[in-house]
Amino acid sequence: MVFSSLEFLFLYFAVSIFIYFAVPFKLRNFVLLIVSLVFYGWGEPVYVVIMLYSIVVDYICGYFAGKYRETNKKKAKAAVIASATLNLAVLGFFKYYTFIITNLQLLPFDFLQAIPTFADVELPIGISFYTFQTMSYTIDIYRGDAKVQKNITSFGAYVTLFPQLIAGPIVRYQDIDDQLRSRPHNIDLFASGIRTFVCGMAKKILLANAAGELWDHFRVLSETNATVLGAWIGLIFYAFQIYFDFSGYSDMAIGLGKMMGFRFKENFFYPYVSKSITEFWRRWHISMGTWFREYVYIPLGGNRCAKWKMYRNIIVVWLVTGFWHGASWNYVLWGLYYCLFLLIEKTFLLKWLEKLPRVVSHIYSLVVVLFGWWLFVFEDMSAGVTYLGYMFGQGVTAFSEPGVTFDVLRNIAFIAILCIASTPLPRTLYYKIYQKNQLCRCILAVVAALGLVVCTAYLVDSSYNPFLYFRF
Amino acid sequence: MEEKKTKKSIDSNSEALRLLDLQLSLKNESKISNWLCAILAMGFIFTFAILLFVTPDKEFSAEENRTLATFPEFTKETFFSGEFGEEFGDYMADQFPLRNFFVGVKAASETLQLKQTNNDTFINGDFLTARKDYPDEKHLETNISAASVFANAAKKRDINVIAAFAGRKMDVYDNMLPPTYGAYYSDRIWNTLDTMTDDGGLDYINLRDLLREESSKRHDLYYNSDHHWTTHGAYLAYCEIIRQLGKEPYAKEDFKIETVTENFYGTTWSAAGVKWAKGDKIDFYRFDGDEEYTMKILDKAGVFEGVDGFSYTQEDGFKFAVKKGFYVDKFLSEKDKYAAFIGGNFGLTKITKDTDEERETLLVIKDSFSHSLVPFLSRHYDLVLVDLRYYTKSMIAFAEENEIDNVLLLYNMETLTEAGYLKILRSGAK
Repeated sequence: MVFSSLEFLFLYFAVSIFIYFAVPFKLRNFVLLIVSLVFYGWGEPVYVVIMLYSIVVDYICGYFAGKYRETNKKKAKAAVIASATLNLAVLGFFKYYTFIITNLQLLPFDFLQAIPTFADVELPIGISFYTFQTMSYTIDIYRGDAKVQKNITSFGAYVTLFPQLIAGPIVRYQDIDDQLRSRPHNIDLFASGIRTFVCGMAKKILLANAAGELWDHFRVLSETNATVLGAWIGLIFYAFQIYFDFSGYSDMAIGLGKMMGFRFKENFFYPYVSKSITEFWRRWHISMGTWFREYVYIPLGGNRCAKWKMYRNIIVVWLVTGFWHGASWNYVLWGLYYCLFLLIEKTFLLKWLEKLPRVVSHIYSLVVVLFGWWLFVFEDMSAGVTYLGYMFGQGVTAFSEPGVTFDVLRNIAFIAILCIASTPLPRTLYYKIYQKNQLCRCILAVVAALGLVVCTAYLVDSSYNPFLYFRF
Repeated sequence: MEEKKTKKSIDSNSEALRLLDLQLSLKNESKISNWLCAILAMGFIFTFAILLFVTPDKEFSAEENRTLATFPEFTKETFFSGEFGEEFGDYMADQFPLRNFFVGVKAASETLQLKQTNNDTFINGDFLTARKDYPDEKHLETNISAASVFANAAKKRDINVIAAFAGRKMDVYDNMLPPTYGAYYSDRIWNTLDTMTDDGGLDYINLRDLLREESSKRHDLYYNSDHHWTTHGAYLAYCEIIRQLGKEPYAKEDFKIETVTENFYGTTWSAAGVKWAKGDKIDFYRFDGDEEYTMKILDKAGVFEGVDGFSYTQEDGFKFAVKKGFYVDKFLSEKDKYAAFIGGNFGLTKITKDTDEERETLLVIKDSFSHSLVPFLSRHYDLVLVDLRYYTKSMIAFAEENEIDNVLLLYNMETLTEAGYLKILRSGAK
């Protein structure tokens, strides 16, 4: 199930939140576990099994990692390795197996052709998020960053926690260890959660879906009637779609968490205002960046080692990061593409960028990011190259055509909204008003409720509401 | 990089937590607004959640002119395949309480964002026009080639075929569209049509050009809220068609124009969701003796049973609904008021004058655009109207069996490009 749907809001959420607050605190983690499993099983009932597997595996591994971390390092390490292996095996099978086999079959060895590809096995939704999240538990225990969770219900609630189950943020166990044991439930946090949730929902439904519909329109149009303007504006709309979609989901997750007393960390921090690629990655999908830094980059030696090793580590991290986004070569390239810019910036460009006027470094960052999305969105890379050709006038019918021009003109206000919404400006303004006085806060409360009404209207009359992360 | 990165990512988080703490630090000062926020939002969600499951399901939306999704079948198979979950979403959207209100809210929001269209419909005040940049040329090809084959086969049998193609609203009223959009796509598809008719050797009356010439003078050739032409538009088309059939059209003065409703909200209005747009008036062009006609509608399902003025008869083993005159008044009090013209779409409709004089018969192979033309054409011919979607016999054989000398093929561009069902015209056409 996804948050931006009527069945989530008016059935699942209504029922879940009611039960959650109807039971005493002791039972709330249990309620969370059950409703989260229902949430996950709604679209793919069979895959609940993987969820349960994940819970059991890390509950046991974590237990042993905790038991032996003081006394027997070897055994504790074995528990961590077991957890990583068992989790990555599931992720590997469902996400990468088909990709690896089909690529191997390109080699001229007959025996390879006989291997089944299981191409029709569907990827369990959110598997990349929750396997990573679950693995962090055993590692955190091993490192002494968190305490063993003896209560399997509470641990199960952490693994399945529905707010961030399918599209992040990737919550590390150490960050909510204490919250699983006790957390506040009060109207202030609850109302704050509603506001964050509505903000995320508006991002997803009002901005991301509308931008995505235009991107789809321009992409399909380009297959028969390509124009330069259409190709550019289409990709720009995609850049807006993926940001507002992804950060919208994160906001909804954070908001839902707050309603139930959890405080998750921010996942996006206005990435499109970045003035370098280094900065962009500090602002984009922060929980994933943190995960890879904590559990891959640093264990490899981070930057406290020989220079060549540090470069190796950076390259490895970005290869893995790219591959994590999907089992396809374009994602690997996408990771390496960013790796390249990060390394260039690290060696000299960052210093230059700091001296340059803000506008220049800002434009540089946006252009790099835009072409990054070009790499990201075309899994079929030959289609991607063709599309890139359109952007530079290769194989187009004209610079523009009336429908394209009209679609750009009629969306000028919308584009302005997208641009402003990508900056911290609305947030700053919001808190200025919020701090003013009681009346202003009441007005903002009404605005939040109205936001919910408008989002509902778009869901009721909707033809377009995609879920982008089924490849993650 | 590592240290910096850590510092910065904490920055963004500390910023967020700072703002959250700021909200929480205003705890006492914001109790009222927090309760207000929670009550409004949760009240909205719970109210509609309850309403959704206590209000009875509707099967059909007159407003949108389509059947609505009903509660999906729940079995072990549909559940485990995820099919149930998927269909449940459609069910909730279609059966959502106050659905029409929410559709209007979305249209208002789109309008406030100056998007000029909603659900692919141009919104120009009350004047609403469906947008289609690239209609399906394959369907057009299928239809036109079949029509050509039919016309040639008819010619061999000395049957006179007149083809007339009408424009969609965007074809005729490009002057009501945003200037950047204009007539580019219309011209394109009509040029394609010309190429196809040339190839097939099919002559046709271009009703798009005919009405387009008038379109700058009057805005009421098509309904503001619907895709059909008005009776005024139909009258212009009639004059041209009847001249091609070698007869003189009746002058406008020969009719008494009667406005039968001012509250017609058509298909385009439904699609656009603009609940604030005004409805249309529907005019009937009445003339003395227009009740002295008998309309027989092939009505297997018996939809007119018990309707005022209808009786039933059996003919060739089929059930026909019979009525005097061309108009079915009951539709004027329903959503689909255009169906007041000859009762809407049926496979076969026969209209004869109650007289002993010999009258020629005109076979009209048509879509719904011809319905408002019927009162005009009936003054010259007995009419047999065929809708090929529901009546799939060989038209050549049909014409021969009924000794029909004149055939009118009347379609609008939307029908020609949305499906290829004219291919039935090939049947028996050699």
